[in-house]
Amino acid sequence: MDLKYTLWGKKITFPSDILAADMSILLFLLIGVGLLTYFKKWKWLWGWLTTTHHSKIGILYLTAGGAFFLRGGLDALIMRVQLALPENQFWVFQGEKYNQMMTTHGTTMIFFVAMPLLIGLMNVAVPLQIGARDLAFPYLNALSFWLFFAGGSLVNISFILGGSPTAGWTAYAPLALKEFSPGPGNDYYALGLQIAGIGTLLTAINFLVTILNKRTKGMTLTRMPLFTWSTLVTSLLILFAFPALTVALLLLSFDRLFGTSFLSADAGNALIWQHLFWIFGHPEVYILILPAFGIFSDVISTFAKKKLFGYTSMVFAIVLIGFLGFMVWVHHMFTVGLGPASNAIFAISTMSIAVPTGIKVFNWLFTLKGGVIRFNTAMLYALSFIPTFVMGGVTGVMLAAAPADYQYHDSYFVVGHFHYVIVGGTILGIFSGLYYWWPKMFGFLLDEKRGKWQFWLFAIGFHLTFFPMHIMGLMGMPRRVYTYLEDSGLGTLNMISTIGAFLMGLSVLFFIYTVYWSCRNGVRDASGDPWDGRTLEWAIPSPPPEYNFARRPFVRGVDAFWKEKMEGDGTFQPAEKLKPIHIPPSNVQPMILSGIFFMTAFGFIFDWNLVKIGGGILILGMLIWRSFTDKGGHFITAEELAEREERKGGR
Amino acid sequence: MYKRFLPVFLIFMIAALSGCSGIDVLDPKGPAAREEFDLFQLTIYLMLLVLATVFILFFYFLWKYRITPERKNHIPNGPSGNKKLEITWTVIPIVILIIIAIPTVKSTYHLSDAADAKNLQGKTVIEVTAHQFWWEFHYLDGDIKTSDVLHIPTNQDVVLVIRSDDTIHSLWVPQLGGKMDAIPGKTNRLWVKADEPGSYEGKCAELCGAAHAYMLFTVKAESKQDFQKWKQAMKQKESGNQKTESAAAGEKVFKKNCLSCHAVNGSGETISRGNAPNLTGFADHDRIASVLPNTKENIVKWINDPKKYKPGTEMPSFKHLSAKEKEELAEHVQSLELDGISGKGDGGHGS
Repeated sequence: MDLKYTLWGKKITFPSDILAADMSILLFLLIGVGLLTYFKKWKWLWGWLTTTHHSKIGILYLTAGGAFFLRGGLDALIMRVQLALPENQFWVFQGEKYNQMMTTHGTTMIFFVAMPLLIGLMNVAVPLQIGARDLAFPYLNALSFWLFFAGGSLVNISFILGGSPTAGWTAYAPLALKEFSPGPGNDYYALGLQIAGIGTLLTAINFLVTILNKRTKGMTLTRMPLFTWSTLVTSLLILFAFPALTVALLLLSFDRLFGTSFLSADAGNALIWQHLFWIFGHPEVYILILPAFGIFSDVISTFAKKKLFGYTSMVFAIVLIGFLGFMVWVHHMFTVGLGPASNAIFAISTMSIAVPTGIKVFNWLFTLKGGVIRFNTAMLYALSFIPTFVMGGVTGVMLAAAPADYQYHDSYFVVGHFHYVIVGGTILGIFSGLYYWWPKMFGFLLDEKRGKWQFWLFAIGFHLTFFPMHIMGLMGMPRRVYTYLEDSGLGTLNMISTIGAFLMGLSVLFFIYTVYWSCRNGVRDASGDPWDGRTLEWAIPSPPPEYNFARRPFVRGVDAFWKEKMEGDGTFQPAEKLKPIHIPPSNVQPMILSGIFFMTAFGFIFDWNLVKIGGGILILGMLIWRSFTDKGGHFITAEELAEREERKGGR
Repeated sequence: MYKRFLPVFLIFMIAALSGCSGIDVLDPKGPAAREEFDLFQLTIYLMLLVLATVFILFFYFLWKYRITPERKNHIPNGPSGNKKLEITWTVIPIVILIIIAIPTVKSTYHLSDAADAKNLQGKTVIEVTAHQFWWEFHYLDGDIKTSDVLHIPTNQDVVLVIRSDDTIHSLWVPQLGGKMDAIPGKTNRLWVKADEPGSYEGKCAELCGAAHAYMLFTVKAESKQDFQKWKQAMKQKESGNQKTESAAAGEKVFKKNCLSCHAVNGSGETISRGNAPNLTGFADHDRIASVLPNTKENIVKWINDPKKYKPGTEMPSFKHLSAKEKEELAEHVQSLELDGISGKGDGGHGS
């Protein structure tokens, strides 16, 4: 199936898998260009590409994260087909090709799917929840998005340009070094994550400043909705964890690109990478789960019609989990041979995370108690999270018992465990958040009937896929293998797992269909408050005007909007007079700057000095340009504001 | 709504706990693995208790407090907190964790001490070197080297001294006890001990490159006498008396083409060659390079294109040999038997 031809005396081969990828990219591009031209939407697109508005950037994050989700999911399906039968030879996906799929799947899902989708939801909801008009630094927010997009594209495009990374998403040295992974694959990994990482770090700073500084009157820290709280703690985690990744990636890049040997076994120490990576990597899993905890807290209290049980201990638990998240990285390294003292200490510190997590689970349960539980799709996702996550959590405690982990470590048991917590936590949280905030973002509801179908497909597929993995691990199946022997008895369970994976894939496609269907026939959200909401974001129209709140509301307690509904007429006392509101300008610079980062990365990957130096100069130039153009935008006058509010009948 | 998963879950769990033979981790054959299995049992029972509590409360609350036509307009006014309850579900997990933590710490130290360099008296010490993508075992006592098959005496403490020659690997024998990473530039130790003779699967657990999946090995546990016999046989030269004519011709082909990398003499002293497995006693191996079943046709296939069957292997193709030469070569390597030890082992993966 490979395509071979000779061009100017050079033999060129397009392997069939790359050819298929090329064709699909080309197809999607053509469809996109065609649609944009047909519907005369180019100007509309430009508006999106240059936007600095938080809710639009949130939607950009969701769109890009969703696209990467499809890629990561496709990788997963390819892996599952290869593993469905013992000693299978599916297409070309054995050996290094399989490692490419597996590495891209992991890297993409963690960095370019789970995180951006959560950050997307944060962008949409957090400013509204605290009564802010935008994030503290709108330009920076756009830059964060585009840097993430550039990094994600870099890792994704590597497949068709000469090889994806192959050393797993953890990229352990010395396997990830030039000596054992020649070719550009792992350079894409190091540079792509580095660029995206800058974006994530900037986002964290942006949210920290926003939440600490941009709250409306009366919105004290102790009155913030849980999603905002979890965003605050997550941002802190990013602020402390990502620098470790930055350093690790720098060492890796230096070793690969400039021939240093920080991480090689001869002159350096291969374990430096593992320590740095997990000092980042363990908090990273809490960066992924805490925002989901926030979403579930908001969703469960809304659909149980009750204030969250134990609000204070919920907040305390989030902070404690965040703190402990930094103390446990060695549990990823129990078999490295660091000695019994360090294994014992880290085993106990790891187990201790179960305590605040347990507090949260029981608080959620008791929020349900005595409530009036509505089973909307958003709520179904939130509810299914509880048993799923607890199942993932208990295997976490089992893994924490170091000597037992000598058996589970790097086996499919671990693969089962972390999919139960990451998919059963983060991805269920993202779906829940999408159904929950969809009307706020777009002004119409996602269809409940189709949504529920989608939920059940996903839930059944999920358990079919990942439950058998625990057993496979106990049967002795190591992770990251592309095949297993016939007589190992692993065939049946792997086949079940593959069937489950396809059900999940089907569910994701069904979600896209649900969005399409609801876009055409969905119920319009006229009131702006479709769920009988409890927090500030439901007090303004859907979708919100560009300034969010004409007059920022005065907040009197936790579940601010519910309090006004119960104790008053459901409207807020304004915390300010009508006054002109500054709307920051659209800006094309973030996209250009990130584009330059993207191009410069190729300079390093393929060692083109001109591109490297040129890119460096251009980046510096962009920064200087930016520092002279930090003005503009426009004001909405008080009169105009009054008139617009009148027309909308906004609260 | 999760009710429909509960039975499935329970069946899986019961299957797991009953220790059916397919589930290696739950079927330990040595004290190290048994210690880990005990910890597994303790944790899983406690965790099933936690799961049961959460599941019962969860489904009970969902059922009891679901929206119904009568409760549609009800505005819940329940407490939004309860100190006593919250303290309860903080303290109980702490107690559970203490119950788990004590044996965890004990066992961590015990397993580590059992392999400690200071406590090697009376133990068999075997050096393990992990390569991309095969295992080399060096018996210090007797200076014997084998590849992909680890022979150990039963009821004897064995300490594996684990190193790596290239990337990070991880040695794992589920039934004999845990795993330990092989890290270049670092030496690790692992204690294993087998209760009964048998053949146990071993594998590499850490991603080490293209053929990570095929970095398998077999542990053959034998009675002390059999182990001694095997060691003696390894020290002697390969048997030559059963050779057919074509196998003898194959030996010539082997000497010309293969001997520059592969040794066929068990004694470590004579091996100073490249990064290639020792083929002594190849007739006893169940698979060629842990990939293809050990048949004549497969050896020919392997010689033609090793990278096709084991991606990333260093062995080049020997396609250029004539069909007759390949045939003879196959016959020769299959005749590599140890003196005094007859026939193929009972072992194999998935014992």
